[in-house]
Amino acid sequence: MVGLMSAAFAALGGLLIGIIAGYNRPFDNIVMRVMDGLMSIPTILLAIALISLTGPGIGILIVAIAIPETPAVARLVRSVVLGVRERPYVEAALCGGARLPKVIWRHILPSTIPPLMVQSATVCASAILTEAGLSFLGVGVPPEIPSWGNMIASSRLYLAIAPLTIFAPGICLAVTVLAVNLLGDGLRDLFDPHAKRRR
Amino acid sequence: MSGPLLKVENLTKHYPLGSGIFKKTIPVIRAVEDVSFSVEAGETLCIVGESGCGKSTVARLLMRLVEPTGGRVLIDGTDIAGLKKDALHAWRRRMQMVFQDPYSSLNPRLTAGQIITEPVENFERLGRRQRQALAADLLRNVGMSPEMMHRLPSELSGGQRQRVGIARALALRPSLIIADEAVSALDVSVQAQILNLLLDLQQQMGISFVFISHDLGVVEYIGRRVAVMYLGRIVELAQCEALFAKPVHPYTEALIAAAPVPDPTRARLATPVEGEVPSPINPPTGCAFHPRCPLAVERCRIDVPPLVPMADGRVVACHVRAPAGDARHLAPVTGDHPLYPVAMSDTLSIRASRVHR
Amino acid sequence: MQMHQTVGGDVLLDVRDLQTHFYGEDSVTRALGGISFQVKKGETLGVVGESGCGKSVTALSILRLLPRLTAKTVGGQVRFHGRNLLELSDREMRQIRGDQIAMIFQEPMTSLNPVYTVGHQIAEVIQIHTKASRSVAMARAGEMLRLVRIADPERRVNNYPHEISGGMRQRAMIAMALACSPELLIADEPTTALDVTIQAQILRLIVDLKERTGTAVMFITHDLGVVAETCQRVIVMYAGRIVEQATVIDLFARPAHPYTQGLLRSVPDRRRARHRRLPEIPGIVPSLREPITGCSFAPRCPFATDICREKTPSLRDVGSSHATACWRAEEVMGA
Repeated sequence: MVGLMSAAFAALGGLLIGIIAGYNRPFDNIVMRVMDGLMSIPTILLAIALISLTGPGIGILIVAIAIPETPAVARLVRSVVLGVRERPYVEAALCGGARLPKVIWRHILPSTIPPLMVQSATVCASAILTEAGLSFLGVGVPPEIPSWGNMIASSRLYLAIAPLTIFAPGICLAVTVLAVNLLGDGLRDLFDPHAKRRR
Repeated sequence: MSGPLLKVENLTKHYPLGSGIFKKTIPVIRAVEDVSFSVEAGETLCIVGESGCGKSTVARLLMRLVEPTGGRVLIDGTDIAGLKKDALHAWRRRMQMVFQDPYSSLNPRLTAGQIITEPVENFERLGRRQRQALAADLLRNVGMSPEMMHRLPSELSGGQRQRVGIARALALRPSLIIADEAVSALDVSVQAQILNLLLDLQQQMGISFVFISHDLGVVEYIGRRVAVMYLGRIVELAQCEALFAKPVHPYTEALIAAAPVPDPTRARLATPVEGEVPSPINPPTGCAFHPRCPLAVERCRIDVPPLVPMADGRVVACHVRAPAGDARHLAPVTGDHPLYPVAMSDTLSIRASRVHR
Repeated sequence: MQMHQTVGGDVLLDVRDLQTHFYGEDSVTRALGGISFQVKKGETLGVVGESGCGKSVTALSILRLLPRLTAKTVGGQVRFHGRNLLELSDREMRQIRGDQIAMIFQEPMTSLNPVYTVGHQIAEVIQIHTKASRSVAMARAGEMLRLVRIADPERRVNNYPHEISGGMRQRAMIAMALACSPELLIADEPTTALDVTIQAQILRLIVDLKERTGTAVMFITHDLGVVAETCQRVIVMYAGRIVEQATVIDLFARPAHPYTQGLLRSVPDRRRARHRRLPEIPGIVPSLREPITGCSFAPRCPFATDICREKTPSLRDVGSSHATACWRAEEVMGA
């Protein structure tokens, strides 16, 4: 849940920033430097810092995980936009009298979706892991809400007596992350017109 | 109708190389330098030249896909280079473009029908019925069956894709179509089909063409007037027949001599012009062709030759063959002119014998 | 004209019934449907056809450079000096490639390695095939660059491919191909990516070098003008088969196959009336995925009759050293 939401936020934010950066030079220069800066901050540290400022809560947790994941998405989208905007079919659309927002919506956005899907899946997987890590450290999801991270954290004390209680959520976590990654690959194949032709 | 449909005046485009925050002078690529020409309604103007001569940049400047550094582009007397976005939007209806590569100029995710009706939908809303009728109409115009409208570009052959590209350009019923190497990527037999289609469309609809190509055979076939470009400048602009029968600028001559002729009985491979096209970042001083030119004299290294009108209506930029300044000097000077050393005219006459046949 | 009479002579390369298939996920493309031809010592043989006709596949099949996973030469022989190249081991094939048979490609940038200097790459080819020392090979590389008329060869041997122009790269490729004095040079569209004036220079160079070294050249191109300027004999290919084979003079003067005729007529030519409709070949090239019954050109052919649609024609003589695969060649030549 936290993973999905963070991934959605990161993807949306990244998409928006990426597209604007792909089309606006000054914005690109400034924002991409900021993004580079964000990328160099470790996810867990930023989350701990944010949560210690506001106190624990699911909302802030999602934001804390989404922020450091956004730059990767933005970079990806920007590179796709920069590549696609030079394509003759985009120029052809402009020649046909299409206005910029329409060109972006109809010709550029669809090309960003497949890589975005794959990237979001990766983000989602890493968000799940981060969330688990934070919960394990006790700064993530409040302890009264069940989460795999919390389960692992609380089972830690009983590792010697009941190892299953720590393995069960651990394995669930691993399987979920794997599943999300595979889903991303599947989505990419679904959206890719070339892949479709081959089948 | 008075005056030409399209008039281009002193069009110039410099591309800066890299950003210049820390550098005082930014080096520039002089892609297009002081280009002027006009196109009458219903006529075909060809622009020929080798890669890097700026012919594709001219096409993109005309469509305002790139902003000019200087100069004017007038359609029916209105300067579109100075127009704001909204006004430009309306003028886009008058000019359309056909692209070189029929593979990358169509969005692979849209069907042929969606592609060709899109320009119209930028200007008016269409119902589902109207859209289908329009697509069928346009496809029939370019010699394709209306059922093709549901195909994706990947399901069409190269020639069919280029037909779709032409149908898209026709959708807004433009008065001018700019074709940038529109048949270069096609096989000979398909190329013939597309050239015929373009000629038919011109006759039926009275469309003007600016036809950009590197292929002299195609240019001679389709053009009425031809502009030869070299390193960003027009070096010769003449009626098609006159240009091919008797090229005046040494570069035009070299270009025509270099084109392979599909006739094995013809004299083989004349001595080709030496050297390669210099870089537009640091073009030669004076006439850009002088390092390769067998006729070059001292003056060619210093002054850029102006375009000088000749007796038969053509304009030529060459100090030797078309000296400026003398108003009476309107007849073109050819290589065997007694003023010039025999050795020079010798090298030329070898080629000339082939050119003039 | 004198040049064309020198054709005859010994056979250097003898290709017999060569068949190459490409394998897709659920389809087989018969890229070469059994072609036979010969290249004689010292001649220039042109191979013309439009994209997908199999002309490049022919070259790659001869040199066994096809992608291993997706393509396979399933039948036929390629005899070079009496040996069938298709039966040689990879090691033996490597020794022939670059030494006795060399190839130049369309795009010189992708066929030169960007991380080594031009001289280094030419010297390497020499070292592989002769036991020359490094310094001897480098000296020979310099000579080769002079031979292909690269200005200032001493300096150019130390240049990297991206530091020289496209025309010069193609010259360097030719230098590399000729470094071991091969008996056969296969040139696959060597000038297609070049500008007209540079193309003229390179064509001139290939013709001159051929005359000087006596190397036979197999010249693959789609451009009939280039064929007319450089070749003595021509093979016309269509849909994976040879449809016509003739001396260049005969081919242009009396094409015997309707495809050749259509091709020649559809080239814009300044000698004909302008602004008149170009004679076009209607329709499109057939897919090679499905087996074709009858003549593969029949659906587009103005001469086609029932026999054309039922029986596949094979090459037959219609004149001295002029052969065509057409049932109605006599009518075509009369038209």
